[in-house]
Amino acid sequence: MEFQVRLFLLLAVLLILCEFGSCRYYQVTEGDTGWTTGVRQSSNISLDISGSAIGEGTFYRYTETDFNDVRMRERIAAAHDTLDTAERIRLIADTTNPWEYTIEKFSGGQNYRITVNESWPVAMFARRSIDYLGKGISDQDIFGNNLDYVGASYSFAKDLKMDRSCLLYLNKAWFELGMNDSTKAIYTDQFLPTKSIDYQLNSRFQGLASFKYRQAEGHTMTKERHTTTSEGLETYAGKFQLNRHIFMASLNRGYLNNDDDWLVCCPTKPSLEERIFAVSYHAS
Amino acid sequence: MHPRTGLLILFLMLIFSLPAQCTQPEIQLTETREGNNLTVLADIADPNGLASATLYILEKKSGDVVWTEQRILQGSKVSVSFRWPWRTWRISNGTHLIEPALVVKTIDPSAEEAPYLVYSAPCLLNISPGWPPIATTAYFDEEGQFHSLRDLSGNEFYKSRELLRAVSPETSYGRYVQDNISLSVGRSSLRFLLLNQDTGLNPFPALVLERSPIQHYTLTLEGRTASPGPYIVGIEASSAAGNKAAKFFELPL
Repeated sequence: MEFQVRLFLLLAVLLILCEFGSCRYYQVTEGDTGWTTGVRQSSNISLDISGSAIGEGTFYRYTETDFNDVRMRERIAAAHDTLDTAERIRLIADTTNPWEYTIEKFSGGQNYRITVNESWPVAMFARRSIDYLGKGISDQDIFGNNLDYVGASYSFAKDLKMDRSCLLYLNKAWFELGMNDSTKAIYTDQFLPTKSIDYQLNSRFQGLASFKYRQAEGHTMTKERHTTTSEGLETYAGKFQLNRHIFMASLNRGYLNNDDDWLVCCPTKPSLEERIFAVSYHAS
Repeated sequence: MHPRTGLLILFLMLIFSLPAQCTQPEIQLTETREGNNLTVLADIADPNGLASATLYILEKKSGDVVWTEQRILQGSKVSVSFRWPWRTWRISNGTHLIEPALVVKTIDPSAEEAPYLVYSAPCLLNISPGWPPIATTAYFDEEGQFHSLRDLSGNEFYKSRELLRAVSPETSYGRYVQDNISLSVGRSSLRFLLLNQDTGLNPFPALVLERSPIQHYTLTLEGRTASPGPYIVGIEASSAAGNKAAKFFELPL
């Protein structure tokens, strides 16, 4: 009987795994409850951009980066005038480590636990300076790291001098679902990435500016379902010196903390490939 | 005349006539004032020939020189007219300012550079904190925008894009900045000078160059209406032989 329940649960879990080239992604979904890790993807990649520009004219910039939800977005448009800008972006993402997926049943009931332990580290450092005097510049950037974000924007700024740096680091991510297979009730739902954002901003401007940040405790159903642990929004209009340093981290959580419990529960831990095979086998 | 003023004028005459030999230029001064404009007409004569004449406006209370102007003279008898628009100079880097800065009208710049080198201010350049200071001159245009920084040998530490365009239109400013400008934004600084009758030349606190060279480091020279006074006006004349003479008077309120 227990085997049948276990079999049913295993069939309800949909696992998508794909690898092509250096890119890997997966998604784990529990069909009865709709619980999902969402699509997690990353690549083995390194990126190093540096450069500068100085001159007179118009300037536009579009930057979009997203590796395993470690994100950077920049949008800049400057009207015709003088500008001096320099930047450095470095990014390293590594997917050589396996990610691990487990299902365990607690004896004496229909409680199950599904865990996903991902160790695809991403590190990104972005530094940019800009010095603009003219009719107006719009400069927005936002950095995100698995539900957390920090960003600043300047609009209609006739005078903008800014030095900004941001270091984003994702070490690993831990998903955990605890559910009862009879009632389909979820009793625990956790998404605990080990991550940090170190954002530093020194700016002087005349115009409109806003600065915002959020640090979240996340759930994995959807990214909107999260608990905000800290959040801030500031808006400025006029002539200001705006300096900020924000360091937010979620450390020492996830797989390592749960490692001992997991070993007690399931001393024989099959590899990822065996798990995938097992799912396929039962499905057929 | 107040005794202190008399002593001050005597002191200035002594200071400015130290190198004088037996023959000194003779100076006759006539002043006229219309509103805030003071005109000083100096009739200067020296049988050995004249070299230059310099106007000094000193604030009586502090002894600070708030305005100075120099003219090159030729001949042995010259009438030269100076005008003081009742203003003093201040210099700002966008966040801090100093005044009254020692600023003079640039003498004899080349024709193509002249619009950008209208005023010059001696200063001490610190390329980086802890480095030895370098004696330099900062040049400003008529609107007070910073265009050039040169040392006494003529080595140029900074040239604005407008000045570069005037003297070398084919050169890219970005390339020029990369290859020629050693000033470091946020680290390099300039210390402009204050001339005082008692203490001589004194450097002001450093103004850090906080903005890009393409923004002229946001270093600006600004003329500002001078306080009501009282002031002491002086003319110093130099002969071709190197002899000097000076004549001072107190400007009535």
